[in-house]
Amino acid sequence: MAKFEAGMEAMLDTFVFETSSLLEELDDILMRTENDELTPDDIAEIFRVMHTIKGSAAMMGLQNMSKLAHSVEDLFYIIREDNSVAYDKPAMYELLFAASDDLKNEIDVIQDDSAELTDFTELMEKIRAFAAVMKGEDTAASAGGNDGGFDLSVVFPDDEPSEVVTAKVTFDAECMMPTIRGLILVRGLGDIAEVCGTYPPDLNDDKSGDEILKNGLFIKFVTDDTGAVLENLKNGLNVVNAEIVTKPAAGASGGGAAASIPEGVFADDEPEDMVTVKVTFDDECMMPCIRGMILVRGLGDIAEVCGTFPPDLNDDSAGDKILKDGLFIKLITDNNSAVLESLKQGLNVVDAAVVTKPDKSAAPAAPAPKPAAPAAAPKAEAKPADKKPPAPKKPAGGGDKGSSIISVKLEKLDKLLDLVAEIVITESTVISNPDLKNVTTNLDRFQKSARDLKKLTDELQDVVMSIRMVPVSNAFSKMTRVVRDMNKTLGKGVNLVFEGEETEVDKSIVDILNDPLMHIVRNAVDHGIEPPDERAASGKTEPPTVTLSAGYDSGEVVIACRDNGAGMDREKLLAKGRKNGILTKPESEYTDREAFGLIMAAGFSTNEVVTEYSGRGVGMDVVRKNIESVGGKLYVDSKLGEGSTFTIKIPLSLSIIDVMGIDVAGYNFSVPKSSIVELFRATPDMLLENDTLIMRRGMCLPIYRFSHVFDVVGENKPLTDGVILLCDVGGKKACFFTDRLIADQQVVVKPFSTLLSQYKLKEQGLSGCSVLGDGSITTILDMKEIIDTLEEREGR
Amino acid sequence: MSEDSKQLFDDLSGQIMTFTCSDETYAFDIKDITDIIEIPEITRIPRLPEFLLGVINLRGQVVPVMDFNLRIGKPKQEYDSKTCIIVTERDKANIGIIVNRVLDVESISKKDVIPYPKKGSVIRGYTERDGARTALIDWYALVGQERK
Repeated sequence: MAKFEAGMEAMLDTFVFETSSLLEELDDILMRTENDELTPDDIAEIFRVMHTIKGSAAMMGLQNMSKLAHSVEDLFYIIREDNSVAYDKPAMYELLFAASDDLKNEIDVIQDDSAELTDFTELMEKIRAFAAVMKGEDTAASAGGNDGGFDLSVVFPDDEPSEVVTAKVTFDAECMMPTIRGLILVRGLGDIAEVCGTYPPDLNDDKSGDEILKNGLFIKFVTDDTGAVLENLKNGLNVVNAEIVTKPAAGASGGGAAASIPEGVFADDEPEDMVTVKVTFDDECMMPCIRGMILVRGLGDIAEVCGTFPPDLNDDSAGDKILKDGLFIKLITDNNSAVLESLKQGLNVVDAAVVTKPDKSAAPAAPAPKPAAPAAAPKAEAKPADKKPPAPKKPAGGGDKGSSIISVKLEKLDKLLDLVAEIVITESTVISNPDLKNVTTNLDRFQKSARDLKKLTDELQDVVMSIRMVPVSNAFSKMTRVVRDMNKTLGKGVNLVFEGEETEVDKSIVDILNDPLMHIVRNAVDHGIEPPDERAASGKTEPPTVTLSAGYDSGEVVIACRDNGAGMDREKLLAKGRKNGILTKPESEYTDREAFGLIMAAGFSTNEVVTEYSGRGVGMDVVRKNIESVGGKLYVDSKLGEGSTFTIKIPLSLSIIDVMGIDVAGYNFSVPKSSIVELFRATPDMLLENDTLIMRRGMCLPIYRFSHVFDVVGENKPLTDGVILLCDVGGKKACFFTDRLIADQQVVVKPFSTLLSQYKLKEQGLSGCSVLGDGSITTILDMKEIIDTLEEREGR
Repeated sequence: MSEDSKQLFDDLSGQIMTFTCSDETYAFDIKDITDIIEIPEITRIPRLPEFLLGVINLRGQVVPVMDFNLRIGKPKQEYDSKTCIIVTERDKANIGIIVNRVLDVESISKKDVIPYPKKGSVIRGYTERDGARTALIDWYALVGQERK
């Protein structure tokens, strides 16, 4: 079976996004309040988050997520209702974090076609058990009161189906929270009876408490075993008595075949070809209204739906009616069996069957059917409080907190950026159009308008670029959780401090940063910071701290993770490097930075003991590779006894790069500036070995002509006549000769058309192309591929 | 006509645009064509086969360009005022094709197409009208892609 309701695929993105941000919100609150007071606002917020997740998960048909959220919601319901309730806060936070993590994992699971939905029963049991303990503690018992002069008839609506039994529960007068006791009783009946409603209807309302103490609580339910229900109720805390009451005299309820069809389903003036289908949902069904709506929508192609009963599926109370009586769908169709088939496949649907209008004479108890069928719902039944607590007052829907913020797909922004780039190019072709040169009239006004246009397009481009920028705090705040969890297990009590977290970087960079940051922060807490006793022994008084900082430095984003821990021992690192055989030169020649850089080499871990968090020896080299793959760099600095700093440098934007435009025999190439060390003109005395080697900066480097690299016919000018580019990619250096430099420019790299992929341009060092401001096109070179290919060709 | 070849022409829209190259008449299905433009400046790219001349800037999009004569193994012809680029598109991939001269739009019916007997050719079939023969081009074979 599909993981979620058919037809909901389109909603998946929204659901994933909304739920993820809600869970992040939840984590924020939990982190903030864990060692602080949990204010009523926070409680309400957590309740709202869980309620929204419950609702949207149920809509997607993800029962497991919905139920887990429900159990947490229940827990917070108790706290919200009675702020004085005592509970074990650390234990509760463990459960909450576990639930939050599980829900987050599940979001990944639903997006992965091969993964199965997770069963959360175990955690749910724990949460329920915890909630039960909480409820059990708010006891204070005393003697009971009784009802006096209470009109029973308000308890019984006229149109109540016959199989509904009403039990009256009397609490003793000392009972502190009769409403909650009532809710607990109702919930306790879950297994043996289907509760349809209570009187007073709203157990959330504080006023109901007095009413219950005075008149007793009436619970309406359907069951097979009335005796067991009464037994169960009587066992409740503070319960004095529980008994079955019947409707006073007013009239026998309707019996017979029509009993299960509530009044109002059939109208007198119903056309004959209209068919009524009764759909029964199972008790587990979380949001019957929404399920109903989905079913009705699903019938779109095969039947014309004229109405439903209950008529308004948007009304929350309709859900309880549906669970009780079933959902009646009125429709006109050519194919009854197809309709039934379609309905039966719906989630949580137990049965779907065609029902016919009962013979009126056979159902004497039903009062004269009201006219207009769908509008004639039974008199608003006392709003039932069903097994779950009623919906909170706040509207469900994730975005109500920041309604001035909308979320947009990144693709759309990319498209916008493309369009703006095209506008800028088109603008410049219009303004500097060659045809204008032949115009003899005065162009002053045109020139002024052109300047205005240029100013506006420049501004537009800046704004569009800035849309993609997000503060780096998005990536930082995730680390709070990492440090918290590690403090729990390692007991180091590390503080996490942020600096410059408002620094804005391209969205794609924030996404890339997440994993490396996590690794580095884990390392800092696990390896960097010493255990408390060791710290005390070395006389350190300042609290153990890991500082994450962000800032700009000459077109790059600099992210640093600094700890005030033990620092790294250069000699130890070198010794370990020697043991693992990864040293490439004599130990004495290693600079400090190179020595510390060893921990980023594959298969290197100084921690002798492998912990849950680090020490597997795969960490840092993967981090380094990830960062390098997006054009970034990772540096390590350390001072023994004072701590270590890991610095990540990443270009501001991944899509725009600085290049040097060159002309090679009429070809327009661009070399990324990040791979160029310097540009110089050669003098004859630099050249060696028949112009294949060049001496520069005390190094002897191979020199190539770009025209030979790509086998294009060039002028073959002497090497001293053009410009030499000294390139360095990942430590590999080489010199390249070009006839001319064209320009120093910024470009947006576009990959080559898929139709050209068969010619393996990328593998030959051509990474893409870019449209320049004047409308011409340049080909971007990948110097790494070029140098690698050349070395291979020469067998080095 | 066999079932197989009938299926082969199922994707035809019923209208074709004819053009000449090296004195033969060829045609593209009209629904593959997005633009007919003059030849702009072509940016050369190394390491491509001779018939792929390079790329052009088509309203900010970078579109590869091939010379049809060279593609079908005929000698290169000088470009004149009638020479133009037919920009074609399938599966969101664009490619411009330089042809000597664009002729006309004609209606055809699928059953009139005579299938080309050999596989792997850029020609998928012929239509004949008033003794004049037009070769229908197989876009996928032309650009060297698998048919989707």
